[in-house]
Amino acid sequence: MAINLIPQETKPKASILNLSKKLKKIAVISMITLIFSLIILIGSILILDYRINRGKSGQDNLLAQIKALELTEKKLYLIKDRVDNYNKLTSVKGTKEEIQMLSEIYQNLGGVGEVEETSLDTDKLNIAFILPDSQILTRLLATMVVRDYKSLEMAGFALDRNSGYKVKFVIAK
Amino acid sequence: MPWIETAAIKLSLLLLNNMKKFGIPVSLEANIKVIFIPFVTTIACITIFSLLGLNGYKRVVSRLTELRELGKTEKLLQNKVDVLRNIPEGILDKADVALIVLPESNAATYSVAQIRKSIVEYNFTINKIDTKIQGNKEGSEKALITFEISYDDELRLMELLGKIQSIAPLTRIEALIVKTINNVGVAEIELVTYGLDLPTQLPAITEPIVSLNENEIDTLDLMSGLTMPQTTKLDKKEFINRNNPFQ
Repeated sequence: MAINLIPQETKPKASILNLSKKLKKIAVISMITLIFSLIILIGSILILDYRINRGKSGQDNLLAQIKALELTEKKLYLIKDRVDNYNKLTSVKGTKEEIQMLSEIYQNLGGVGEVEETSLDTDKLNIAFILPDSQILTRLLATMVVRDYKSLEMAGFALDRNSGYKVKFVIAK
Repeated sequence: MPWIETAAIKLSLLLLNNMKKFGIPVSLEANIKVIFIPFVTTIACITIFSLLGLNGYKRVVSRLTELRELGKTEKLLQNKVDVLRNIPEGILDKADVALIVLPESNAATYSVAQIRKSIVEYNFTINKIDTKIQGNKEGSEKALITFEISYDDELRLMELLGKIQSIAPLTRIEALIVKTINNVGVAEIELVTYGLDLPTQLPAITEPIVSLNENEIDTLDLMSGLTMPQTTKLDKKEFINRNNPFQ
């Protein structure tokens, strides 16, 4: 039989001893968790620092490459700027169509009639013909009517015994 | 944080050694002795874990954010390098052409020279040339040019007008008046040409760059197809030492 000489009042209670065991287990688990967590944290920080440094050096390298290609970049920006502005300026309606109309009228006239006066701008073409006889007048009207003009307005018509028919048109396309 | 652990141990020893002084019963002392060390260790671990964990977590998060930003910037820069290295062949050579089509200034000078040359080629007579420069708020200039010419054939005049519309710098016919004066055809041509400021600075180095798209390349080809002004190129001459006539 085992003899216990320790005074009974100094012996911890059984429930406390049980609690102490549990607390010891928790303490050990906490310690292990703490150590692992610290290892993971420190490891992560070291790995991330390494990757950041590597990224920074890669970025520096790319920046140096871009710097070396600065002339190319300048030329590209200049071209883009000029192309954009060219598109903007040429998108505004000009007189190309009106000049084309006038050119077609001259070609159709074939030197028989005469254009007394013409003026054109970005919207319309004013043209005044002098035609020697009615046959030529009929032919001119026939060719003009079939054209796909937006509007064709006869602005004046007169007959002069000496020169012939004077006809004025305002045409828009 | 070793100071926390040291402080906890010191505090526990102080309590253990002075239990009677604090009026704690001896039986309680035995109970506390058994619990105290694991309890304090657990609390210390939790405290350290909370403090270091929070701090470490913040550090990891900030590094992850930095890494993500670095990745984004690196991708962008790599894309920029790729774009700059892979510009289609011959495109950059057209930068000069683009600058002639829309020069920074003096567009009227080139236009007048070009038109004058064409008129002379057609054997028409120039009666009058008038140029007015208009500046605007955006730093660009617009030159209004008026030519009065005498011509002998309407169809050739039309040809000339077509030619004028395809010269560089960009020149547009704004109005045309054709009259017959004393049986001579007279045409008054109002033209406009433009001078535009150059881009003053490149965008930030980290800003993305886009290469020319199909439409832009087509426009550039169109610009290259315009008739360029002829300039005289002087050959480089060797410097010749004159003989000393007094020797």
